[in-house]
Amino acid sequence: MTRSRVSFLLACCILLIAALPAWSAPAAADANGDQLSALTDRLEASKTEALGWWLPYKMQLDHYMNEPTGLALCILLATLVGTVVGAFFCLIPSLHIYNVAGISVMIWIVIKGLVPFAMLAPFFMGMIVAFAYVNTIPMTFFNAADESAGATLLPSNDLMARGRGWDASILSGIGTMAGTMVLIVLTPLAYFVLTYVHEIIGPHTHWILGLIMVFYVMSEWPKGAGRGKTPWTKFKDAWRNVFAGMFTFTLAAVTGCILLTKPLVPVEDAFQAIMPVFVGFFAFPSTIQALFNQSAPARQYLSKYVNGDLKEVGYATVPGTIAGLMCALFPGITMGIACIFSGHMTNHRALRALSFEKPVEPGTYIRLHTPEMYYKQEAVFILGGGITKILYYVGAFLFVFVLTALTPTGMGRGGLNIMLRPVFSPEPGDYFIMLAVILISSCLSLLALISCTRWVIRILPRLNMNLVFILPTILMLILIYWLGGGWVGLGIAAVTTCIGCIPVFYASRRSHTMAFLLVPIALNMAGYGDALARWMHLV
Amino acid sequence: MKGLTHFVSGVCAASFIPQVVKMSASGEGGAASFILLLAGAYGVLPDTMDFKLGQFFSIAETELDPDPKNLDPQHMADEFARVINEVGDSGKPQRVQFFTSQVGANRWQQYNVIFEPKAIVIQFNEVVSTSQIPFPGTAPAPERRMGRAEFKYELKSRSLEHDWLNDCVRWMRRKLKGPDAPPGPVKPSTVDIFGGPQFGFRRESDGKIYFDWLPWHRTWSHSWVLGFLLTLPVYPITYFLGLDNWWLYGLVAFLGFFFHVFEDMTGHIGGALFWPLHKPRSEGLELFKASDPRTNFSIMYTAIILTLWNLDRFTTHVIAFPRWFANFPANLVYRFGFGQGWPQLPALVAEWLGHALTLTLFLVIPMVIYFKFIAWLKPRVVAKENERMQLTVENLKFRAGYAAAESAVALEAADGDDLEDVLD
Repeated sequence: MTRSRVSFLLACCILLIAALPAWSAPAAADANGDQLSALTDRLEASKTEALGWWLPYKMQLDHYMNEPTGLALCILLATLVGTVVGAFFCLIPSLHIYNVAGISVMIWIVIKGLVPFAMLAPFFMGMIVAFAYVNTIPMTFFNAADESAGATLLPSNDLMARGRGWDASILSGIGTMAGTMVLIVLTPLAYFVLTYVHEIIGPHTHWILGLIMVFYVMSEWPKGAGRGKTPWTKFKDAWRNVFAGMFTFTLAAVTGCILLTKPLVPVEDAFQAIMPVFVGFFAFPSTIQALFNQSAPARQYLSKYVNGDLKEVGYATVPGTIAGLMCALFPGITMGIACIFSGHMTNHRALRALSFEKPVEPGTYIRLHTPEMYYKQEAVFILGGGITKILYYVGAFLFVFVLTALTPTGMGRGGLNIMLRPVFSPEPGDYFIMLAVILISSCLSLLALISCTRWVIRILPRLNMNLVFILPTILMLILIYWLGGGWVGLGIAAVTTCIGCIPVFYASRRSHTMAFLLVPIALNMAGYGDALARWMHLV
Repeated sequence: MKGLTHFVSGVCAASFIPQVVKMSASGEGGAASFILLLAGAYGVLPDTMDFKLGQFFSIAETELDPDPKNLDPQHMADEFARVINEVGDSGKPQRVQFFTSQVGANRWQQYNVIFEPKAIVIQFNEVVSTSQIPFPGTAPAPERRMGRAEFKYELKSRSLEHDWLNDCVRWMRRKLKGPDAPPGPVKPSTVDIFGGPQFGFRRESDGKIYFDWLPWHRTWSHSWVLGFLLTLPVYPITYFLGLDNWWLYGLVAFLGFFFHVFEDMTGHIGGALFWPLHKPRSEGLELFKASDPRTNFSIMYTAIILTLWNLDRFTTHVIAFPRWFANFPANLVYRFGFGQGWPQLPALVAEWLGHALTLTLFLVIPMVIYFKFIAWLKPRVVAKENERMQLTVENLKFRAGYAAAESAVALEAADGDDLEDVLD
């Protein structure tokens, strides 16, 4: 795809940005009036000596906030700051945006009343949008996996190994931008169809999650060739990955049932009690694998072009959207799991299968013709992953703002929603402001992704890869100790790292570790939570 | 069909039982049931038993396992021909297992097994990725690329020997599709990623050798009788666990299994429907290919929409069309100013009109659009592929011609002529 097409996409975004706030700002301004007066009251109550110097500025800011222009500027400022913060921190391998968001929420709780309330959601939205884009860089170039890695990591790593990390990164960014457009186009669907789907599946979520788990486990086929003279030797050879997957799933489910029923870390000591678990499942095993490999990164090539076109974006849209909506609508469903389903459902590669053609010269080799769709699927996979990624992270948060008679509290899912729930609730009209925020942040993030990719490719040969993995690991250990419950948190991370290493070293699906959340959530939703706790002697 | 197609079909079938949906909904007092998991799990069970279990119990008499460091297609072809001759001479059935050849984490040596009526060709192609994308220039040297061996007996793809079950299937197939096309030659196979195929061979009364593709697939595992037997333990377990409507659990499990076998009968291979009472595997109705994306997608979409529709009409009742139709004449007349007092539609009629509208909007119209789109897309994809194949042929011819010219130049140069003269 040429640079001009990327520019065209950006221009479309900017036009939409210009249109959306004008449409939605007055309603938002009205909606924020009451909040502002409430905030002022709280501000009076929370004045502190240390931050007293800020109060005159805050009063001035409040004055501006009553005007649509002032409100729009504040939202723009929050979006910019959120985007920059998100883009900067997600460049650090192993650091998940939810860790940064958790710290940000802590800071917000300290300074609340000193910053306009209307800046909270745009800040976090900007941060998560930037993450959806720029997180591609550590995932591609430093093999730093998170729970979405299953959907994008394999082809990206393959391209990286062939010196085409640029292609992988930019294709993912274009996919994410396409996903942003999908989010906007989905707006009528979100209000008039998804709300109904959300209500219909609401009381049935537990068994739908159960079905997803059953299929996910049952659909992992043996990867071994099944060599051997007896059934048992053939079985053992083929089943390594399946055994490893089922073992990982069971261990993660048991760990989840224990830790979510009876947390080992006291709530007051652990702001992000779940952080050590997921750092252990995803970040540390990747680091260990990278340190064991000790292989220098392949030489990367910069190009004016990427190997993809708009048709491939079109092909990727359907599976990417289905997987993204699954992630956004169901709790605990991550990209790796959702992409398995959407891939199974929508793969039309066999519309034109491999074909045997006559030899060019009689008596020479029969030609096995591989259809063009096969060659495209690498790009389609990465583009689809990009679309899913933004629907997963951003869509899940955006749907919190879909307020209808059927969904008076929105229908959002995801970690950010859970973290913000104590300090934030959406208001009517916020949805369109959030769309504008997403568009602005998307444009900035795509530009940041292009620049950062170019920068990383230049510095990659000079980087000490051991340090690249060890320094973030030390940072993560400090964060776990500080925010995740001290020594107990570190112990939990050690246990989950061991579990997370099983799929890495036995080539099974890493998303099996999501059983940590899925199994307890499904059981609790069905009403078996107490019975399980009693059965496991946890109460 | 794909595993997910069977999975969602089983769940969809079970969701037509109102009691199953009602006991699955949470928030209606007491713990909710996971009964629908049984429909999904038993829905993929036949293929799970085949691919995760059954195939390892089918031990082949001959294994052909290419050594990636020393490819020897001629040896493989000779071994294969030996097996066919032995089957023909002795009349004793045999199986041949081909293995894949992995050459890297995401690299596989691809090869073809190409059948002629009385010969086999083993041809090694390029190294491919796990997505089956070839890497140009990785094919083995010409002398180690192809092996061909002849055998004494003719191979055939359709069996002469058929039983009452196969006769029934053939009769039904002719009713649905018209007369069978004459059986073609045995189709070639491509061996590249994960596990390789197994072929079975047996001599039939006409002296020809019947070629049985994946002899372990869709045999004992694809049987309604076995499905029934496998659901029997569910009844006592649910009874002793004291679950409400315990008898429904076994029924739901059987529905999932039943629909898997039923859907597979629409393909080419069929199944052993009454194993162990009647063991041979029958042919299928040959309506679709199991891998056809149109069939798989349309069945999956239909199953998901029907399941959502069932969930709503049995529990949540949020789709407004049935209620809307109940007041439809009155609302319509009121809107046009003819006053009130018009009768409502009978409840049942209004309800089913609402359901019909729901299904038309969310199932019929999307499916029509999908098939129209695919009908528009496929000829274009095929035309483009044909154009690409033509280009490939021209490219290969050019490369072959270029190589011939290069070798002629080399020969002439070796003879001591002036190179520039030759090039001129």
